Amino acid sequence: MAQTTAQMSFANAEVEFKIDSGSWTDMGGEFSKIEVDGGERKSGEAFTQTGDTPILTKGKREKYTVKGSFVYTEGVSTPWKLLWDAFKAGSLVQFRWAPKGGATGDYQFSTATAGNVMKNVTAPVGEAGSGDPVLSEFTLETPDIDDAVIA
Amino acid sequence: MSDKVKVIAKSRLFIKETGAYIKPGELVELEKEKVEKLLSIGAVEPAPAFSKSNKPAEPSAKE
Repeated sequence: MAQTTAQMSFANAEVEFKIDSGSWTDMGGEFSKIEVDGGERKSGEAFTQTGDTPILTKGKREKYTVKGSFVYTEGVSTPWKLLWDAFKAGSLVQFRWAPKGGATGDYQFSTATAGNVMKNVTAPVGEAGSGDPVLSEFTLETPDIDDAVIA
Repeated sequence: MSDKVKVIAKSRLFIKETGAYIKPGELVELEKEKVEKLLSIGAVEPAPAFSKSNKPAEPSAKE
């Protein structure tokens, strides 16, 4: 089979967030990294006297944990301030991202539209000797992540 | 104004202009240039020329 030429990096990804019923905000200017954990399906096993291998059963899928890191900037409508306020208020926060960039035909992944819990948005911290930009991190739990093709 | 074409979603679609999501199997009207790209990746398929909903009614048989 021929080697793929459709590979991509995350360099041109489009990442957006939405708070409550507001509009989607592109955080490409501050976004640095996104990670997803969880989503595994529960399973069980049992051994019988006859068999040499276990019999398996499948259960429900676990929640997903979406973690991201972005550049801390100041202002009333910066991503940090909007997400920080939403976290403090317990607002519904949604994220969606398109690894390839968001053009027609690209894939988009999105957190659930309800039931998400913003677990944390970190305060800006750092050390005097570092020349690195100050970053903030968020942690969001969501019941599911869906994919779609952008049209 | 660009031409629009009716297609059937094969994948879940996100309509960028409206923010709506279309489930697989649903009929959707999209710009022709978008449809060409989506057809090429198998995300949509052409809608039948006459679906049940817009097909003219058959004349009733005479007794």
